[in-house]
Amino acid sequence: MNLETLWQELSKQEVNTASNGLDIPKMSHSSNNMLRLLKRNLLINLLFGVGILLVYAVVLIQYPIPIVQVCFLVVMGFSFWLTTSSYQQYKNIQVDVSPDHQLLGNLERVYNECTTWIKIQERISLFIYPWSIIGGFLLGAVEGSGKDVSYFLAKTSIQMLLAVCLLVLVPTCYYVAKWLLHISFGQYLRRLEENIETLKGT
Amino acid sequence: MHNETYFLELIAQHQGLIYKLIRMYAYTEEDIKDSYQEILFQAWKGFPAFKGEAKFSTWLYRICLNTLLTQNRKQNVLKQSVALESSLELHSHHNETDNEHVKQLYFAIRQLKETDRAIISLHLDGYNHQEIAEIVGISANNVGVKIYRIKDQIGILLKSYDK
Repeated sequence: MNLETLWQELSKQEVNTASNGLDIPKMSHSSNNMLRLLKRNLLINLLFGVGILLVYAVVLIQYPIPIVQVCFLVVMGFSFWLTTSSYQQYKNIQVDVSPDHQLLGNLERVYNECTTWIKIQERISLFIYPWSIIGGFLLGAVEGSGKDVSYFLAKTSIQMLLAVCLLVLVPTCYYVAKWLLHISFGQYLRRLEENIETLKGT
Repeated sequence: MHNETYFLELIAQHQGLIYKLIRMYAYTEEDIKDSYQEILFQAWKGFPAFKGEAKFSTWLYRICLNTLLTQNRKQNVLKQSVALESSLELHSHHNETDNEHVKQLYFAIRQLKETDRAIISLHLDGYNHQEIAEIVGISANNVGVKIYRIKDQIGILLKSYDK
């Protein structure tokens, strides 16, 4: 038999009987759809974003310390921007596969959606964490000691401690976030990238 | 026309095609079930837009390939041959040698790159270069070059199995 005939034989094979007796109401989607996972993550981001904004708003009102307020306002600004961009992406992600999509275009679409989200996550760690750390550090110091914020800022030892916190925590948060994203999406994105490159090549 | 019974009838008629494509990519029983579920889900969601202008098999082919190539699956090569044996129970009226050849072809196709599997399956199912180019999103010339190379690769693999 030639290749074509052999191939046709496969369509004629008996299929698993467990799959017969299909029922639409029982039909559910699988857990392997990465865009669905991404959409779920974006929803979590959105809820977190709103939560963070509310918490910081309360802190701003409760603790009227100017420098802490500035730090938290910056965090709130970034959180607001992230929440709105997460919402935009959440709205735009099309989870359903369309038969009108060409395979290459579809692979690129999924790849771009995933990498856009990953870039947003990386920006969170780079722009939000430092401000959040400074604000949190000073707020903790002022509240814990009952002294004025200028007292801490004038002390070299406190400045050093704050610098160490920033130097340790910001890269740690950044690399932990990167590592977690790598675990969730790394292998999948490499496979998508490889498939896109293979299709584009001759 | 686009009711549940009609949809299920069409799916039942094309189960062989769906499983044939799934088994090219899914290596574990869990992934096979998951892929089948997702394809059915996607097909059902897209079914109202199916106007019957293209053949249902072509429409379903596109859904299958777009779903399978964007799914996240476990990539366990060690389990590949075992899973193939268990998932590919051949009940053909042909003799044992023919069945063995079918298995060998399947195994060879599973050794190819993921996108090459899609292209060769379309080719073996009778789609011409232009049709494949439209489904895959590359030029017809590129399809021709790829098919020539893939067939060559399959030939080498099949010869190695015979030894």
